[in-house]
Amino acid sequence: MTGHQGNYSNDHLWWDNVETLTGSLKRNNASTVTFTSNYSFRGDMSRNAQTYLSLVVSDVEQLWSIPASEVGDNELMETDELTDTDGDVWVIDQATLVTLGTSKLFWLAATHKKR
Amino acid sequence: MEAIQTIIKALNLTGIDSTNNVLIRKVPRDIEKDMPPSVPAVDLTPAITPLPAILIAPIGAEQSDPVAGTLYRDQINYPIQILFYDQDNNDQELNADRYYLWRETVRRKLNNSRLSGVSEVVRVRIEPAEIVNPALWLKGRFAGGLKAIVTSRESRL
Repeated sequence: MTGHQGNYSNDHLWWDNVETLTGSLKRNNASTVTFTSNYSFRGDMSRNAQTYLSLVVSDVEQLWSIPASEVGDNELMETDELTDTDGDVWVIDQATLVTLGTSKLFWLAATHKKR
Repeated sequence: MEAIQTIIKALNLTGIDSTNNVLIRKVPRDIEKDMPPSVPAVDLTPAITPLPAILIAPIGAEQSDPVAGTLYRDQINYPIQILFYDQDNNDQELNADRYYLWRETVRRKLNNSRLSGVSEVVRVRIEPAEIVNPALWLKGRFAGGLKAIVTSRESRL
């Protein structure tokens, strides 16, 4: 048996500073899956630069925590888009599912702001 | 670099504002200025707006071959990058033909040419760089490049 036997799937109900986020998951050219999460948490913000040859591209980057139960059976992946209540669109660079024991807790999505 | 800029402007490439968006830069930089309302805006001009743009900049170091040149002139190779840069929001097809045509046209115009108005330059050679940079594509940008090796024979002072 594993060490964690509890059910932590509703852990997000106790999160602070949550907000609503709408996800648009592009799976092929003809199909987009959407979901709405009312318990998303806007985490660290940073600036990061990407370089190519001598070109420097500096973006605003935002880390989002999105409860796994709000995402349902979908998976988040790079180039999926998240829209916050201000209408700003955040494009996922990298997404990781965080678990505790056998509970799916939340997706941790590193994003950049879409222009 | 100004001679290369003049040549590229004269090509009037489709979709490029030749007057304003063929730019010479030391280090081309594109910066997202918008932060949330609570954070003061950062203004590190010159950002590259609007896109698309062609960016001309030096890259790396000059090359000097001690056995090249003439009795009275040294031969120096100047590496200049030519970047094709646009916003494409992770689209797999949008404007792809246009981007590749820009690249082909500039290469065909500059490769093995001389630079008019710059008497020291004896040859421009084009070395292809990455056609599409995947890391920047994931960031919602199109970036592809060429490297122009400009060979100059210069008298000693």
